[in-house]
Amino acid sequence: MSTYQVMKLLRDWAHDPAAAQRARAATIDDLTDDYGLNADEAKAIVDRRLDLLSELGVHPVSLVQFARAFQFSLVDRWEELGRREPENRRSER
Amino acid sequence: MADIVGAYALTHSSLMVGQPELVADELREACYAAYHRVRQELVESKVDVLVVLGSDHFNSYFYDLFPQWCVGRADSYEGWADNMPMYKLAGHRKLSADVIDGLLDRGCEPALSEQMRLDHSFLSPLHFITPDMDLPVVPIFQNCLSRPFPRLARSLAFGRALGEAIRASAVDARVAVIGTGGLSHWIGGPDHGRLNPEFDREFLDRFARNDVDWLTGFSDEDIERHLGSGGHEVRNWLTVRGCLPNGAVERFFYEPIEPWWIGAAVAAVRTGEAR
Repeated sequence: MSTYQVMKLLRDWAHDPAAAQRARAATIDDLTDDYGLNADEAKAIVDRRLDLLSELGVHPVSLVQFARAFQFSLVDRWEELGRREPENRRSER
Repeated sequence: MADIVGAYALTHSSLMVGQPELVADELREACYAAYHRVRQELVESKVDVLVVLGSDHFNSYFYDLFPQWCVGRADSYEGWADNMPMYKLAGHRKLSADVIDGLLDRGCEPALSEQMRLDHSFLSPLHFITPDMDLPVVPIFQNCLSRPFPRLARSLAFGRALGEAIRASAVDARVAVIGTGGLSHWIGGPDHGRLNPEFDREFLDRFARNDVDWLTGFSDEDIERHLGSGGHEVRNWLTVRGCLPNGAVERFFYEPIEPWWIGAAVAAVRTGEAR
């Protein structure tokens, strides 16, 4: 699948709470079978891998839509992925 | 003939509307006061129509069809519920049509839309400056979202053409031009929420001095380095500047407001020249 199609799914989920709920419950197999994602894309979504999606070329605003649809904190997730200093360390400076 | 009686460049943020509690009372009220000052000036100058330059966040526009500019030409517009009330507001079809014709006469070829939905880039400032949504609007989308972007010099030139097109309209209306977006904000990536107040203040100074060479001298990479991925929205500031290139600028407000992810700024461009 193309980055365009991945971003289109993220956008659709951000705009449709019912679709987002289904997507949040989906497995990697569901995402490949039902949404046409390839295995890497599906795994990146299931695992909330912002870093991998970004490397695929997914736009930062689409990542905001992803976080909104999947109900997680962007800041917290970037910290968990080791790509951002924890907020308490940033504020100590 | 239509007359431009004022112009304003100001930040948009859905969080500013939907999550006021994130920001300390004093700072929040100082920010809101700047928008309320714009609101008061619109009333005092008896503005009839707002021409609003906004962007988008993959709500109304996507890569299936992605214009660099699009002018709304409808009788009414609806918004998105992106941390915002679901507003509906009136359009001004005749002025929209004249703006489109006038832009075409001046070498600019925007798309047009009879069914343009406005996201928070339009509606979050309008929430504060015309809270009853009782002023008709001519909405203009400018791509400040995704590459390839309009070149900065082109955004400024679009503003010159837009100003002339408004003034050439036979519509008898007092018009205010509103450009929304910026200043610095990093969105979505690892630096989500980062701001660059030092550069924002430099930008505001150069904007006030109409230092066109400086304002248009940045590559897309420069913008992302200094202003973040959201900083491309300064294009709407340049377009406002192009409408009133000799107007004095009065800065109403600037503060970096991290909880709202925005270097928040409000500035007026006057119709009279700076002394």
